[in-house]
Amino acid sequence: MHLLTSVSLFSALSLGAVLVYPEGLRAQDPVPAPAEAAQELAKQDPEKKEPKKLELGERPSMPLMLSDIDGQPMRSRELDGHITVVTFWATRCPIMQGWEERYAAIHREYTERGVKFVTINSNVGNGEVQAEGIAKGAPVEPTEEELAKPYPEIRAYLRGKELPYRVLVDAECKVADLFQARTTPHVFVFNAAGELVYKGLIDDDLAQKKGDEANHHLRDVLNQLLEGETVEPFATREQGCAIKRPRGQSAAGAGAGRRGRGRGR
Amino acid sequence: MSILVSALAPAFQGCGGESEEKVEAIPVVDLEGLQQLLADKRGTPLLLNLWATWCAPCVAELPDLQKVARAHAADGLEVIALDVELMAPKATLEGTLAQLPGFLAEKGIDLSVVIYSGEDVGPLGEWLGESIVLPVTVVIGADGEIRARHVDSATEQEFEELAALALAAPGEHR
Repeated sequence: MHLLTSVSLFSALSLGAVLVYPEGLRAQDPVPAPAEAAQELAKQDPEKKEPKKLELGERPSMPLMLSDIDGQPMRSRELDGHITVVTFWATRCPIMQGWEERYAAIHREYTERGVKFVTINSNVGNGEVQAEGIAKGAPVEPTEEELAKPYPEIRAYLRGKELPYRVLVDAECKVADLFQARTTPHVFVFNAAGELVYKGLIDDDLAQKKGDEANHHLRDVLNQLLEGETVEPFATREQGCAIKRPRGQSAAGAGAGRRGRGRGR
Repeated sequence: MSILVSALAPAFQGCGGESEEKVEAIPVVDLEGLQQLLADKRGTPLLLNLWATWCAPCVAELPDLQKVARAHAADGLEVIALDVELMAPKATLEGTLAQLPGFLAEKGIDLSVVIYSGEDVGPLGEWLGESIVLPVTVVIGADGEIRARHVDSATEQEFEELAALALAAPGEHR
């Protein structure tokens, strides 16, 4: 059992790795160094290593410990007590790009209102999450300076598109798996108590042709939470590019993996 | 009302204004049209692949899908490549109709392509019982049942497995 008694979505960790708290360790206890924690993990029953998938209305079953493209770990205190948006994001997804301008505007606007944004790139399989150099197909050519730093593709993209995000790298797709995230974009909104109250679309008008008929799910949920209203947990069907997990690694989703079973029509 | 529009992409015009080459008609369907199309194919094992020209992984897997489609055509398998091009903000039906034939020819793709006319793919996802994750391949048995959905790119081997699943007799695919 993971004993998390405080609201803690994220905690410090080394690059890209995700750890569970060892048995008996409380969230307020000092966070073990990654190597120590890994040793603790190795002692545990292998069946206990698989964390419970995140469900609506729940808090993550483990602190999500990721680092940004500069190697700086996310600190739990940055998010505790804050409404938080976690977004699975990509540099190479045209659908994400279709929403990018609106998402960036939401990011800027609601950051000023105290909402925390966590932007995660889990695209290991297509080279976006690549610490050194760039893979074929990078959408924005990195500068020499960017190439000398970690994750040049992401760095160049943020610069080229003037995006305000702090991007965390999910180098083993473990956070995507925990969240059962399958697409970019895929947004998850947590209330100030750290409970997941919404997951799905940014809005339902990717083509921007619905006008007043559009549902602005992310904005609406954030507005409700900021006004102190209770949001009953709900989801919308996501639309986007498949998260590029490593070959052979199944995607989370509907409990059926990359190959989901169907139903009659 | 079910709508199934058979639209002709513009024919190339010569200097004299006469058509020099006619391109193949590409069906355009809305959700009802797609439902009707699939209902008409009841009794036929199907792979329904959702793709778009701007989706690089989608385009990359089409040749493998085509190989499998050809290999199992004699077995009765049909493959429909449903182009959801219009969900992108700047895509237009006119532009898609004009460009798609050339795009397919350039890639050597002769799969049965159908354009989804809806700019909002939400209802399509609701009907399929699946989020619109590109690419995705839906396996439909001859009995009309959706047997599986393969999310993300598939290899030729994986398409073979999906084909086998579609071709399996009702009750023998589980």
